Amino acid sequence: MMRLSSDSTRQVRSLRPAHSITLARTLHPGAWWVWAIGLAAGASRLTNPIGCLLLLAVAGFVVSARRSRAPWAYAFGGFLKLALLIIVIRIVLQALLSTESQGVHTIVVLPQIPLPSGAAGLKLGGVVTWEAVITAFDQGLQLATIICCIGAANALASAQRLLRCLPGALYEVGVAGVVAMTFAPQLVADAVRVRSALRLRGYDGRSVAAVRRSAMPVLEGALARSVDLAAAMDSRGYGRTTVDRRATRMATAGLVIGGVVGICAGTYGLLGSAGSGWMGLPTLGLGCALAVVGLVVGGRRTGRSRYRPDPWALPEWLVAGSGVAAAVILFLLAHAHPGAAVPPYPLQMPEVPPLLLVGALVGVLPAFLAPPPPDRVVDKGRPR
Amino acid sequence: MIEFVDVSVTYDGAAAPVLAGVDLQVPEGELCLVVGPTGSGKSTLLRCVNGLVPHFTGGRLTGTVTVAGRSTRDHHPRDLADVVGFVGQEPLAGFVTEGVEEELAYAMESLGVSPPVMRRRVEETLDLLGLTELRGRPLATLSGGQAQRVAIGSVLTAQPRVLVLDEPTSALDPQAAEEVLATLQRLVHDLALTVVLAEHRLERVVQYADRLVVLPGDGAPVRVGPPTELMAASPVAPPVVELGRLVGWSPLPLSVRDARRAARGLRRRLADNPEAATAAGPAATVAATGPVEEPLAQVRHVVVRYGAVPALRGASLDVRPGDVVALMGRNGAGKSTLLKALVGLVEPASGDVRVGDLRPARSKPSTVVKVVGLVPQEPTDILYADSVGAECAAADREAAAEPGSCLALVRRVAGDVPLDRHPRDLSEGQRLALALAVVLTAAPRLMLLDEPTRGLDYGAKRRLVTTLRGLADAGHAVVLASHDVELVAEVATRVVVLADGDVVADGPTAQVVTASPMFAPQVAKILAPGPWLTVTQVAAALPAETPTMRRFSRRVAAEVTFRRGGDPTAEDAP
Amino acid sequence: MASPRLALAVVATAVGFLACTATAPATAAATAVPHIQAQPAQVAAGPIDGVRPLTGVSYSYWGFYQWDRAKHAWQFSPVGANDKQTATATTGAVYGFRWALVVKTPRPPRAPGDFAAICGGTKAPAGKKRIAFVIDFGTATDSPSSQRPPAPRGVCAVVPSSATAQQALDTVASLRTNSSALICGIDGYPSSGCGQKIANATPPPPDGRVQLQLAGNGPSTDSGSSSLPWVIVAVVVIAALGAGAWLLRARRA
Repeated sequence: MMRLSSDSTRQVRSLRPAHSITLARTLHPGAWWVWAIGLAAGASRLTNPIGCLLLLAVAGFVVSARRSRAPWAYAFGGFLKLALLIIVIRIVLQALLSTESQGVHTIVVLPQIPLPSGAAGLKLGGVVTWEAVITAFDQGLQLATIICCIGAANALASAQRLLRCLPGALYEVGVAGVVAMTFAPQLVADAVRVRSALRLRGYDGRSVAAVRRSAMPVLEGALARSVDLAAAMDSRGYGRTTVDRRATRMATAGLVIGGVVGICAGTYGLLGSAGSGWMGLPTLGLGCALAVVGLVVGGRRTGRSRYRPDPWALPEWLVAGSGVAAAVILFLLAHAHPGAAVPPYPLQMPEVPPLLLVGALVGVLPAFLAPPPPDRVVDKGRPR
Repeated sequence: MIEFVDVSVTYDGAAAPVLAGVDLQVPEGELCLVVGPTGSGKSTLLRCVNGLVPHFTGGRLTGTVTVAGRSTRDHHPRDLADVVGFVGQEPLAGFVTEGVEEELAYAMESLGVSPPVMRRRVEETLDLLGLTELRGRPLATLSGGQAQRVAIGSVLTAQPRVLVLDEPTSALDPQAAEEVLATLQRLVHDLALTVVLAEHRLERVVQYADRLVVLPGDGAPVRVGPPTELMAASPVAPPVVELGRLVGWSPLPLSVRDARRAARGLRRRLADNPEAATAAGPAATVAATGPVEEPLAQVRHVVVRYGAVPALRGASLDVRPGDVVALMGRNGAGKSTLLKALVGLVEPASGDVRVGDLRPARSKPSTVVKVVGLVPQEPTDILYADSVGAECAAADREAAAEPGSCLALVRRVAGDVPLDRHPRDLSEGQRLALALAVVLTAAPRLMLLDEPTRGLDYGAKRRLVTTLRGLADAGHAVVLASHDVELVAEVATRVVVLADGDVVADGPTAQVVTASPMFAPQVAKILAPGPWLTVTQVAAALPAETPTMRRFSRRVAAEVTFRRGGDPTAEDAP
Repeated sequence: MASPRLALAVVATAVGFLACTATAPATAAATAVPHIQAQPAQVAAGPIDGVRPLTGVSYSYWGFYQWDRAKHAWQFSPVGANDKQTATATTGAVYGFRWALVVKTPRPPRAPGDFAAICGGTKAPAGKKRIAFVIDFGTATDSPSSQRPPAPRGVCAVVPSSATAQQALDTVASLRTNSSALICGIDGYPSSGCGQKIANATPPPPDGRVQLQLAGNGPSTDSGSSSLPWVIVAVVVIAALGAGAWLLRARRA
């Protein structure tokens, strides 16, 4: 008896398996999203191309190291291509539409198309300078980096899984989001199928008339499917256990909406460079508090239960923490070395203070601190 | 367990009720099969069981439906979720989450089942349905049979006492259908679950049924009873029953096993007259075309890739005028891809596809449609207008055909179709006929059909067979991809079996089909080792003795008339 | 398979965003709302003057001046430093840049534009012109931060005859410009921002005279070179992470 009790005390002290960073499991999607948003927020303060490339490389490395085998895990490649496209579009737009004078180092003089006086300050064509193109590249790269950070979150934890973690009060919103996200790709697939079927009627599939013609079957198909889905959800008990009291519902809605407005205003105050940073924090805090109260109140009205909710344990703290740390360091950098965060001379090699390296490299830690996704370990154990 | 008392259903805007005066009792632990032609109200009947009719669909329901003591009058479908599990026609359309485990747990989450119980039930269900290997898989990556089993599992976790399935195997290849039906069998036998299911392919399920509900359609009264009795006079019947009726067996056999026992005498009688098999079978047309003609279409060592995944790995095929070639094989074997390559929807990575002297993928669509036409799996993909009349007029215009020629084709294939009806509101058979007519208006010599029998009842199938044979006799060639062995036995002159993107068998129907139990039609299984494939052949070989036999000989005669250009629907109208 | 999902939404947002950001500086510069500070030409003339007393807002910014030889005085330039008009200037032109808080009256450089003193020792080959610059970083009270203003300097630029004032200045000083090519900083002063808005400023005391430091050609500062080793480290890290990602990918496939 004595030994038994001492055993059990030891067990109580030992770590819950969820805290292990080597035991394979899927990480809480929220952790990946916090990490990614941290990196993206950091990138929002950098037009330093080296800094942005660092963040891109960090995101790419973590994705390669920790993604699963699910179909969405291959999303990152698509986002990289999108990033490239953004940079190209940005440069082309800048070259074509840039203002009267941007910099002094001319690359090429395009024929300029005169515009009516209403478009004063805009020009089409004309002088294209190195300054304009490189500034455009830097800004394009910044946007591309932000998008790739979000892409990384998508590859590591699909947005659908994130929606599943929404608090009970937002359950309906979550379901609507999930349904919409399954529908969009199906709609695309349908459109592709119907468009290719246009050939069967002898159309080329590219003309406007043909596209208009194919819209009908696609939309009708989507409608039919949504009716099927609604029937399936209804017959599986959707909405059955919701205790619906009008007062609670109104209170929840008011609190959550107020909270969201507060959070938006606060975030804008913090991130925006409008100089009103001091009022950002209190508004953000108030918004968060309102939202939390709303969610708690709203969460009480549901009688739903949750199957195997993802735990939030040590690895989640580490991953989310690394994203937050990266954001904080990069914000500090922007404050301490404005010239390094936003290089003033587009034609000069940008400055790289050690702080920039540290900030970016903090973001790579999840590649080692997050537990590996489960399906990979199964693969290793399987004889080939 | 389920009780219908004088139930009638009228949808909004409909003139006549879909169901009228249905009285039905299904005791616990029975497998109840609902049969009837398209549009006879099978889906409506099933949807009444869990209250989707009228709570979800609208319309007016009189009488009462009671399930496990709960009336659907004051219980919504969601309030019946723990009593009735409902699985719709398209499993993928009913999935709410994106992973197998989450999908299984979804219903329980809605019901507020406690987490430990959920966990246990999910594990049990994974074992029960053999889904353990799939537990972590995203739903989008499942095959048809797997998706259907997950859909069944996702309603079973709520531990209902009744399971309702609407055509659970219509989209599945024979192997996957076996999987699903075996699962259902186990549920009935091990868990004493009450199962109500609707199915067009009676040959797959009728032998498992404890009770049959026959909806004759057209306002005729619903009949309920043991399968053996009702099958004798059912408007739809599998080949084994047709054969039993033809020969006059009693009791009527429902399974191949029973029929084979009863067929000893028949086999002996037929052995005297083997040439009748070739006379009435599809092979007859081959003999009629005489010497071997130049192939109409040639496929040589074609490789088609989707991304890195090869769908065809060097398949070859010749199609000659007068051929009706059936492509068979499991889902994903490359049947649809081969058809798409023939019509130029996909370009081969290597190899050559020629139809006449055209390379379809490289030619202009407007020239291709005059040579080769494809009716896709979803006929609505090529129907764009909002009424039958407009669709036909558009088809005439596109093909520069004489006005009215498309409509004439529709009438020839499907009888009278209302001109102002929206294509989506037609029955499956009529819709297929419309798509077929639209494609035929351009008068292609090579006609391709992808899974044409999905959702078709026996009557519509019979008309399709007549049409396709007529086309072959007129010098067209037909290639169809199908899982339906009975249809293939009726219509195909040649069968090509594809596996993993390659041709593994190619030969006359009788040879290929009888060589494998998977592809053999019921009649062949019953009368093996004789060369008989269809009931029509057997009927032609036997002297006309019984009224049913006379009907069969009439049908043979009607097909002959049609081949000469006559109107078969006049004879065949039920 | 999953990529089209978000990609669609993101493409839409991104294209919209791109269009906005690409045209935003252009339109902003065109309308010259008061918070665009360092637009000397328009600050000096036009409607802005009428607006400023009403709002009670003053600006610190780099003002651009031209030396009027006849009057022997600085004139606030009617055009921007990169305007094509400035390209017509010939050898002998003197331009002045002054960082100052301007409340009502212009505050030109505190040293005269002495072409001979600044460019006297410099020769220009054929096809090039000599332009003299007076760069006055202002007083410590004008400084937008704790940064100490460098001593005013005079410098001579030898440039192609078609160069604008800003292009000429770019050859002898390091310029920090905003996305509309307005001059925000010269030789790293001020180190950040682009002009400064000051509400209800008191008019500064009149300026005295200062002595110019005359230097040779070429930018006087080069802040980039000091962090070159770190740039190399960063590039190596990027390459290593990229290669690592590639290897991990290949191992899984």
